[in-house]
Amino acid sequence: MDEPLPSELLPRLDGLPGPARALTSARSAAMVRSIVDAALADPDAPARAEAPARMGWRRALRFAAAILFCFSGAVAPALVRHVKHTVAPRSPVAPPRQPEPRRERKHDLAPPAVEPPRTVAPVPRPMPPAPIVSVPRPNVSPAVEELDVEKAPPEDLLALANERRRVRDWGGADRLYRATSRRFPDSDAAVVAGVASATLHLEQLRDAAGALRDYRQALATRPTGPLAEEARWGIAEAERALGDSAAEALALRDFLAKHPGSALAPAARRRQAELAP
Amino acid sequence: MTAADPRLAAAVAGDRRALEELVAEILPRVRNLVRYLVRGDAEAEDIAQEAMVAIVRGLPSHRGEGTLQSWSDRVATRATFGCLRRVRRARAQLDGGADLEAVPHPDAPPDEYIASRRAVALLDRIPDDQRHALVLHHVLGMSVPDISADLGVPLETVRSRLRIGIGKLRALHGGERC
Repeated sequence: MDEPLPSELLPRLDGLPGPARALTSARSAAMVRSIVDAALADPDAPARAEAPARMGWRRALRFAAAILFCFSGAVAPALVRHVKHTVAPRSPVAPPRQPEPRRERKHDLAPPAVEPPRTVAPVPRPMPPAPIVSVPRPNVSPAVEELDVEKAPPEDLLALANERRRVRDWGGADRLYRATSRRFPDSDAAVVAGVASATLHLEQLRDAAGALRDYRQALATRPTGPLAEEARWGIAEAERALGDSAAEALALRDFLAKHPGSALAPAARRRQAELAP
Repeated sequence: MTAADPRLAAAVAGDRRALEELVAEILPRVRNLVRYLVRGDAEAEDIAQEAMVAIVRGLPSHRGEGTLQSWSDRVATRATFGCLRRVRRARAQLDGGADLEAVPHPDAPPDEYIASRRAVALLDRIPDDQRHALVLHHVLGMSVPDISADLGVPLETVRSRLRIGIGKLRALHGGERC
């Protein structure tokens, strides 16, 4: 009974993403505010009755599509361990993780090889895409000083793409995501890159058709993988941006059928109701 | 974050900014802890929020015995069990496997996030009593007597739940790898 469990059975408890779903910094900040509001509103009231906090949290679901940004940011560096099959153990007694020092990048990215965006209406968003939650991770430095896109391993490409995205270089980030997908087709890295690229196209590059194609490709590659939920939600969002209500309704139905317990399920049902004739 | 953290005193004294900083620091771990204990992301988010509210309201009672982190773990655990008792009926409806679709594909990347999501997906498939014993013992490091006292069940029951829970978890893990 007291034998230690392998870390993959019960990973260490910490404040890094997982097992709770990763959050964007915007959503995390909204939660903090609503928790403090709720706690200070009426100290004698039961927590369960704190409507403002719950409502605030529910409203935050509208922004959860941006989870992908945080999610891919968390996944990309860790793909180092995936590719090398060396998942770091998370024993209960492991020391605290230290932030990874930022590295200066001397190289300049080549001009982005982004397809010309098709002209579509921008996706209606209640707020700008949330920035990535900065999650320090040890030993996952991409070690990219002079990155050769044609030779770099996928984890370096994804890590650098995240850097580009952080400075709002959407084209540069997309070029790196596409290089990852092109050089490592059918890999998990390609799925991460594909979904991240699709979200960039949908939310930043106003290219819903391109986003739709990438979400579908990612879903086809890993239909039951950990990003399937984000891909299915993205398909519905892209169809909405393209103005195809029938396709959007089908996408929402598929999303709810596959992910009925998703945090986005209430938003999907609300949208379904709006689309109902 | 230690018991002597000046933000703690400031937060208790009504400094909202200090309180928000503390909440922001505690929240990720509490969300993870609650997700370990609770089946399904959506319900875990609701309960994590309630646990955080309980922690904030309990801050004035924190006497500095032990770290704030271990104290908040205990408060969050108790708040979670309280919430689960209140929503038992609703949870029973979810026990039919609503989250089974969240079990990732065996080819899922074994990155730390994915690994922890995979682990909790397996936890979602074992009975709650065994799950809670496993998390309290192996994640929070609580002793069997402490778990027995917290859950209000005999020592032997805790040991049995741990033994059976580990066996199921291993079997599920092995089956997923096949």
